Amino acid sequence: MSKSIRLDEPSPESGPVKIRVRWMERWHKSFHQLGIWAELTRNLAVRDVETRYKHSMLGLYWAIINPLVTAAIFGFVFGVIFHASSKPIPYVVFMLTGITFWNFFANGVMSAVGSISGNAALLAKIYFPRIVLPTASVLARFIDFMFSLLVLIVFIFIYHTPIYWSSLWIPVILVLQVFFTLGIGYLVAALNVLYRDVNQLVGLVLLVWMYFSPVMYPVTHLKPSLRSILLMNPMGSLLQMERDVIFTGHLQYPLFAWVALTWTVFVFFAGISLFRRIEPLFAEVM
Amino acid sequence: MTESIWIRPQTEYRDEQYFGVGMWSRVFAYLAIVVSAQVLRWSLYVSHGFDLGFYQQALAAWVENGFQAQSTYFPGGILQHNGAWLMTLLAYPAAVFGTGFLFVTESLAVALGYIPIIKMAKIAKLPPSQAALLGVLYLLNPLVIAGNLYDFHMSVLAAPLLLWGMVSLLESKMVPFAGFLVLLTGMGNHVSLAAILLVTLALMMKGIKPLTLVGIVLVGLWILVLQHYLRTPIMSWMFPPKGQLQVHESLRVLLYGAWSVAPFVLTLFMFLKTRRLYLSPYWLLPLIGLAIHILSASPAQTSPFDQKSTLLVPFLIWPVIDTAKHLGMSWSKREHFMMKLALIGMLGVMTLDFYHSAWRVRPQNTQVLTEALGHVSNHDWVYAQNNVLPHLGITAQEIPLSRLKPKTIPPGAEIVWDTQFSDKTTPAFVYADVKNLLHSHDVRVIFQKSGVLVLQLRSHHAQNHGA
Repeated sequence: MSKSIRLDEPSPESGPVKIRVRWMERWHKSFHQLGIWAELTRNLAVRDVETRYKHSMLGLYWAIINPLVTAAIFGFVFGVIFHASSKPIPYVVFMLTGITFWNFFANGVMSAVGSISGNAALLAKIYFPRIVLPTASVLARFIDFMFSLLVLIVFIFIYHTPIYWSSLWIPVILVLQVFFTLGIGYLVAALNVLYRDVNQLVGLVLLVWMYFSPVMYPVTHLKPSLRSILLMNPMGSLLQMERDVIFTGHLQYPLFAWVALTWTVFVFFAGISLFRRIEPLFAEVM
Repeated sequence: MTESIWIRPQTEYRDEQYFGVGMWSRVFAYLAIVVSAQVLRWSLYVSHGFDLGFYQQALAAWVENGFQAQSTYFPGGILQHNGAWLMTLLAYPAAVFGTGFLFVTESLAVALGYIPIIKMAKIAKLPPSQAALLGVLYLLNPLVIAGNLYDFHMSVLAAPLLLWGMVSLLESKMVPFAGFLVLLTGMGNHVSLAAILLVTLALMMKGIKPLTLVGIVLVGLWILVLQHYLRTPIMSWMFPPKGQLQVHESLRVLLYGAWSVAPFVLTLFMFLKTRRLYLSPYWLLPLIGLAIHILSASPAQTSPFDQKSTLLVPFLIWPVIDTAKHLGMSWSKREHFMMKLALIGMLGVMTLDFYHSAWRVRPQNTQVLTEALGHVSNHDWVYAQNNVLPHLGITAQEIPLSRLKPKTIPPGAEIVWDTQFSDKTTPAFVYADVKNLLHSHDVRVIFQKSGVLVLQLRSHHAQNHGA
């Protein structure tokens, strides 16, 4: 009687070298696959930006108009009516900085919410990792953000606001912000497939979140206890860091940078974890 | 004719179920929560910070003066005090990244201890859900959190190393086992007892084998180095001095014992529902450790919140895994829920206890203290209370107020004193000395507001006293 063979059993000639080769093959395959999904993500992000502005009269100018109008309204209300101060930085510049970086986060999360539920047709036709969709949405908003950043730079020069070489740290802080936005984006995108109320809820939460973050007010004059609580909020901490490296040349509250870092890593992993857990249910629900 | 075959379902779990993204989210959740709590406590001046201050000074002193650097906290060289040679690796990154780096290093190290627990549970063939629960039992354990919430201690970093040592023991891998044992010694003399217990565990599990012998030789060498080269008083930490047992505190000691072992016994009860009895011999090791801790003459060592108690947790986790392995039963969803509830409740009780703890009273002068520190020079020696010390940053120029002796204060030194707050470790005569100094002409008041003072000694003070 012949002995039954299990396919997963190692063959007699398999040794450490074979195992190493198999591992290398697996790594190579994984990187190749990752490259394909990265390209798909980039294409989807570019398509998102193109379709958003293609048929509008002002086109890409909308990416500039939005932060300008928001900053003008808030600047008028807080700067002119309530006499909010952000000395030594001109309030308009202070506000525009906050709004620019906050808008990237808020818009990224808002467009990630509907990224799965709004692409039901695409999901039914082709197989690709679903996580590509919220990632592409956030990246699309990052492209918008780059235009807003240009506006901010122009305003900084118009108001003759001194900036420091430490501004070169902005890309590093932005990487953290992108990962934090992605983490929240994955979370809400997956939950929105199960509960459509999430879409409405996220808008409300972001509104409250914005007021609890130092977007429109400086935290330097606040009581230390209140300031600590506000900087415990990772977005608050990230915004403070971004302003600090541009306008003060150093981090005023460096310990809170670690809070932002640890929450970013956690939120990113928690987002992926929840997304993967809910992903098998997408086909049933949609 | 087709023949139908029933294939017995085999419960085999994939690696992904143990070590997937879920595991990393739990590790980083712990990291984010604990680091936030550490930073919040630090920013509100709640941290006791005596040991954090010591480590900050030690790291800065090493960067400035090399390995022969002295400490103002304890007499003698820094390495002679605690023997934590691995701490030297932290010196340069800590000098660059500051106090936050120490908080994150400690919490990350503790959080990564979750991985070897999962690995041990997998080797014991426990399902992923039980493995995760055992991991949470470790992370939420009061002894683990208490060890790293307030302060920084090298000995806390030893907990994950102990767990990895146990993993290599289970896998009978001699080189990694010896490696982890060597790294363990780098965490200082306070982990010597844990190292001895690990080798005892190896003896119990494997008997006299090359792996065990290597362990015995390594630990023996380490104790020799501590005793004869570094001259660290290791035995006083490991064994209580005779005739000085704190028997009158027996109730507290009992409560401490119950507090430490309760979650593990609770887990054990889950298994005992099978009406089968299995008493793991490995309970012996944590009980030896616990007995040595609670019978110690040192009040700090008998405290349930002492950092050395963290090292008992791996030895408490292992008997639970061993019991689960032997009884091989699964928990129901309800039992799971109850267990999690008990763990969360434990965390809640602990938080309340910490909040009300008189030892760590929150000063009311947070804002004024921050202002006061703005007037402190970075170039002179600074005396400060324990909760203020961590705010001086990674600097060699700090001295705990409790170490103040009027005759030896360096000229130009500054004293930060919150008159409304006692850090419970500065003795009354030190405060009396500072008051005397205040009324003399030897000091200059740099800052004074709401009971917070920053004083600076005039440069001729030392010559006057010297004369």
